[in-house]
Amino acid sequence: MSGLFSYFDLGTRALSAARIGLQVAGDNIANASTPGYARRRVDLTPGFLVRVQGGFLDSGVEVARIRRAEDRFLQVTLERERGNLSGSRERLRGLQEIEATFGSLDGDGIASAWAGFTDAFGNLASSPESPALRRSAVSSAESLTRQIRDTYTRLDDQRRAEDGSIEQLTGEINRLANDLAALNRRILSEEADGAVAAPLRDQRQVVVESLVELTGGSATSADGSRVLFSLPSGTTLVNADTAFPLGKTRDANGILQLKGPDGQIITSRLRGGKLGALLSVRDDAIPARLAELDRLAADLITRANALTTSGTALDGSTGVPLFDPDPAPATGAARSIVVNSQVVADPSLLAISADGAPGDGALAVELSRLQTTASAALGNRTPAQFLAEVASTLGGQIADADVAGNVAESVLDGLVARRDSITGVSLDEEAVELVRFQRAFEAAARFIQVLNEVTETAINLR
Amino acid sequence: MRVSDAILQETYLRGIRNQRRTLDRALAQLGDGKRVRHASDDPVAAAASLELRARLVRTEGLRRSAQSAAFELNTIDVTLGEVFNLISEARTIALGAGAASDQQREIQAGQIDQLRERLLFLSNTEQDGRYLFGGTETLAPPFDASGAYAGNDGEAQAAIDESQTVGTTLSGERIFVTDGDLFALMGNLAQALRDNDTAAIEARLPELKNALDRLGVNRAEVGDRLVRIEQALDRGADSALRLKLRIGELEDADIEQTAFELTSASTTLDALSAGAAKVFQRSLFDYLG
Repeated sequence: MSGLFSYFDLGTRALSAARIGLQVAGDNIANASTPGYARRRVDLTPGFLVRVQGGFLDSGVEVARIRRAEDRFLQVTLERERGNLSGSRERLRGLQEIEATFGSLDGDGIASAWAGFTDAFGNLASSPESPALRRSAVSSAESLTRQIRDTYTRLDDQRRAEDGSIEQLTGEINRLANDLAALNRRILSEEADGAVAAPLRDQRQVVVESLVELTGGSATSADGSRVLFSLPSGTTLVNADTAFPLGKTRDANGILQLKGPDGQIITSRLRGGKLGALLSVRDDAIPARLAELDRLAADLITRANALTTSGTALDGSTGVPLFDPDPAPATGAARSIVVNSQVVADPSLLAISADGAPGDGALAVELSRLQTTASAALGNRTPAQFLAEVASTLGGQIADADVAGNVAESVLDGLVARRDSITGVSLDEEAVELVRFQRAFEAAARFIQVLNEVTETAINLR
Repeated sequence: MRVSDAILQETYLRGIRNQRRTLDRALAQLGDGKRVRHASDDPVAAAASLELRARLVRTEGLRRSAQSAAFELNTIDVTLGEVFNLISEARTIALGAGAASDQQREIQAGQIDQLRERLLFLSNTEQDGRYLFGGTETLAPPFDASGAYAGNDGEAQAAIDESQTVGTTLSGERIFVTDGDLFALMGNLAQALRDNDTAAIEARLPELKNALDRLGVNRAEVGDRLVRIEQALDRGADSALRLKLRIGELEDADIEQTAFELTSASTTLDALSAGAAKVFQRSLFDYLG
C-alpha cells in the first residue's frame, strides 16, 4: 500500500510521537524535584516495512515504550547504606540521650555529687563533733544517693520511651509491609501486557526505601516485577503479594518483644536500620549502664557501711550503717540506695569515730577517701576511675556511631549522586528534548501540509 | 558523569550542611571555651579529665583539712606558750620566796593559786566547741577543778595529704600530768608557801624547771607538725595547680584555632552561596526563545 493517502498516517504517527516526547519531557520537568521519581525516556523505533519501487521504506515512526531509568544494583547498595545511616543516626540519638543523663564533665553528674561527698566528709574529719558539719555531710550523702537514683530512674524512663518508639515503629513497618504487598499485586496486574507501570514502581521504590531505612532488611526481585522483602534475621516480611507482619508480645518485665510469622521471638536478631538501633539502645546500651550504676551503688553501700558499722556515733551508739539497704542487693542497688533514715533524722548518729570518742574523725577521713580508693568490686578501680570509664566507654560508642553515621552519609551522598546521574532530571537536557520534539512536531505538521498540497494538486489534475 | 539538577542541589546542600556543622561546633567551643564538654567529644581526654577532677577535688579537700589542722595547732602552740610563761612566772615567785616575809609568802601563795586557776583554764582550751587537750574526747572539758583528767590518750587526726595525717588535739594527760603533775605541782607550791616550808619550796624548783623543759619539747613537737602541714600545703597547692592546668589542656578549646575554623567555615559558606547563586540561575530555558 503506497497510496498518497497512506502518507497521512505516517505524518499522524510522527505528530503523535513528537507529542508523547513533549509530554514525557514535560513530565520530567514537572517532577524534577519529586523524591523517588526516576526520569523517563521515550524509545522511538521505525515503523513496519513497506515495499516501494526500488526497495523498502519504514512506514514512519512508532513509540516503542516509555522507559524508566534505573540501576538495580546501585539501588540495592543505596538502600543498604540508607539503612546503615538511619541506624547510626538513631543509635547516636539514643546514646547521646544516655550521655545527657550522666551529665556533662563539670556539670551535675554523679561524679560531682561524689566530689561533694568527698569534700563534706573531708571537712567533717577535721571537726567530727560539729553538728553543722555533720548535717552538711549527711546532706552530701543524700545528694549523692539522689543523683545515683535519679540517673538510674532517668535511664529506666528512657528505656521505656525507647520501648514505646519500638512499638510505634513496628506498627509503621507492618503498615509499609502491607503497602508493599499491595503494590506488588497492582504492578503485577498492570504490567500483565508487558508495559512498565513506572509511576507504581516509583511508589514501590519509596516504600522499599522506607522499609530498608526502618529495618535494615533487603529487597530482592526474582522476576523484576515482584519484590520480596526479608528482615536482617532472615525472616520474610513480604513475599510477593503476601505480607507477614511482625507479631508483638510483652515479656515478664513488660518489654516489647517481636515475633516472626512462625511465632518465634526474633527481637535479638533484628539489628539493622532504625529498629535495630532502637533495640540495641533499649536492650544493650541502657541495661549495661544500669548494671554499672548498680555495681557502683552496691560498692558504695558495702564499703561505706563496713566503715560506719565499725564506728561509734556521737551518742556512743554503734553499728549504725550510713546507707540503706544494708547489705546491698545484688541488683537494683542504684534504684534503692538511700541514706539511713535514722542518720538523716539525727546526724549525730553518723558513726565516724574509730576509737569511740567524739573528737575522732578517722572514719570520716576514710569515707572522704572512698572516691579515690580502688575497690575489688569495681575491678580494682576507684569509683572515680570507674565513672570515668563508664563515661569514656559511652563517649567512645557515641563517637563511633557518629563516625559510622558520617561514613554512611558520605557513601550515601556518593551513591545518591550516582543514582541521580542515572535517574535524576536535568532541566537543561529536558529543555533540549522540548526543542527537539517541538521541531519534530513542526516538521511533521509541515509534512502533512505538503502532503495536503500534493493531494490537492493530484485531485485538481484533469 | 551526567549531572542532573538534583545532584547540583544535593552537592550545594551537603556543602552548606558540613560548613554549618563546623560553625556550630566552633561557636559552641567559643561559647564556653571548652573543647570537651561531653565524654563523646573526646572519650580519651574525658576519661583522663574526669579522674583528674576527682583528684583535684580530693587535693583541694586535703588542703582545707590541712588548713584547719594548722589553725587548731596554732591555738595549741599559743596555749602552750602561755602555759610556759605561766610556769616561768611560778618559778620566779618560787625563786623569790626565800627572801620574802611570811606575809609576802601568803600573797605569793595567792598568786600561785591564781596561776593554777589560769592553768586549769588553759588546759581546758576549746576552739569552735572542741576541747584541744582531751585527746579524742573533745566534747567535755578534759580537766576538772581538782586537775583530774577526763580525756583519753588519743589524738584527733586530720589528713593533710594522701599519706600523712597529723594529730590536731593533744592528750592533756601527757602534757600536764605524766612526768610531773602540773596541777599538783602548783598546789604543792602554794601549800609550801603558806606553810613557810623553805625546803618544800626549794624542792619544787627542779620540778618547775623540768616542767618548762618538757613544755619546750612539746611546743617543738607542735611546731614540727605545723612545718609538716606547711610543706603539705605547698605541695598541695602545686599539685592542684598542675591538675588544673592538665584538665585545662584536656578540656579547653584552642581559641585561636577555633576562631580560625570559624572564619574559614564562614568564608567557605559565603563562597558556596555565591557559587550557588550563579549556578542555579543558569538554565538553558533562559537562552531558548
